[in-house]
Amino acid sequence: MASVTREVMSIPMRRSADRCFSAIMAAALLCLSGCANTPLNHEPGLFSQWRGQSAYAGPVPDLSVVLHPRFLVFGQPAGFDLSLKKWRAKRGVGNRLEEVMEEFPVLGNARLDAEEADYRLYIESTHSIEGNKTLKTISGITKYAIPSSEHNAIELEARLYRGQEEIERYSAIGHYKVRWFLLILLAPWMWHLDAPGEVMEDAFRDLFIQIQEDAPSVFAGASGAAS
Amino acid sequence: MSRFEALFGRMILMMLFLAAAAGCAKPVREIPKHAEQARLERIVNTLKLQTSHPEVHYWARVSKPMEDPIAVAVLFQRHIYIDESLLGRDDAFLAALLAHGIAHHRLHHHGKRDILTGMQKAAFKVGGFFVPGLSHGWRVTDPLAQVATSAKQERSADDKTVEYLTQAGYSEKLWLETLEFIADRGYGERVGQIGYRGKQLTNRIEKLRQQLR
Repeated sequence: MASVTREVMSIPMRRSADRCFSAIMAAALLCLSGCANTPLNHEPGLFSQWRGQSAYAGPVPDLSVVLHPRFLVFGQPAGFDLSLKKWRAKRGVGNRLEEVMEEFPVLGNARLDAEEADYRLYIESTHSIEGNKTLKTISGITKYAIPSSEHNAIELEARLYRGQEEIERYSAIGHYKVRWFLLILLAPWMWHLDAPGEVMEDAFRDLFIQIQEDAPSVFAGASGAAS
Repeated sequence: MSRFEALFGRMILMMLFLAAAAGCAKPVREIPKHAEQARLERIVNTLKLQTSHPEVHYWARVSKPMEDPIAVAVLFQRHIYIDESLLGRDDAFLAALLAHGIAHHRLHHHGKRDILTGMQKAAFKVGGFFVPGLSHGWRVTDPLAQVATSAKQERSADDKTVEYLTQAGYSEKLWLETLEFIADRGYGERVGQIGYRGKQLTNRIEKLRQQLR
């Protein structure tokens, strides 16, 4: 009898708690601020025509690929120091690079950070963040009630070495736009969560396509060949 | 307030002040794709042949002149920045600055500082489980530890710079003359987050003078 009474009395309380919880959830979802990413153009943008190309039959050099990733925040260089977040970011860039490397037959014998190799490819990957710093600060303080946007770029500079001699230089750049605003959940068509990652992968593709095109002349003395 | 608490409070204030004044330099601002960048890269490519790992690449870049100018900034991921206002100088002068940057990188000075500050950070984080607030202690001790290690690192980098320059065929006193120039003109040096200028540079100049006498 006592348990039934307790249960009957708790129903209105439970209803009001449910209503309260629903209201809080709705408010939280509506007020959730976030960013919308839009990939923009690439230079030289070779990867868009590359997908259907014929099989590669050129040399496959013994290549060590060394990646130097960094941020350029409003023109100020920011390296990767000893913080877990930055270490993970560096690892993330490295993993993406390795995934893209697997798509290219010319990089069949390439390894990341290999100590001994006939050729070395040093890649400086600059994730540059550009835009209005003041507006971004104000926007951040107001929890993006005042929206702001950034024009970011992933810029790759590469130097190819045979022994100690620099033999070629390559570069590629990919741009994307980030818009920070409130009510992000009301604009699902603007969500493009992995845009920076995709832009980075396409920039790596642009870089490696140039290397693959140059391979017969640049790696003329290389011992390996594509199967 | 007990005497102990007052003393502890003063110590905390003093440490905060020291941390603020410990030489954290202003960040440099890059000039992307500067016309003189190719010249700097050419000099770096000849200098790195004097190192034990000539196959390693260094990125030479140009920085915008600032109110408190930094002649050479040695930053993470093998980047060396030279102030734009110094690009009018001859190749030997730039070679001295770049050789110093290479010396810091070759001696793994960033990595050594990172290990020290990382261990410190971990210790404070563990301490934070027992003493509330202690986990933030690394914010105070981090710059202090970096400054404490940097003096020794600068001496070893100076020695290495002289070695690289001599091997590359430059005068033994080139680095000393370059240091005197940058100290006289109010320039500084930056390694990671720590900057050196004024008296810190003159002390190094004195030591180098005695060494090269």
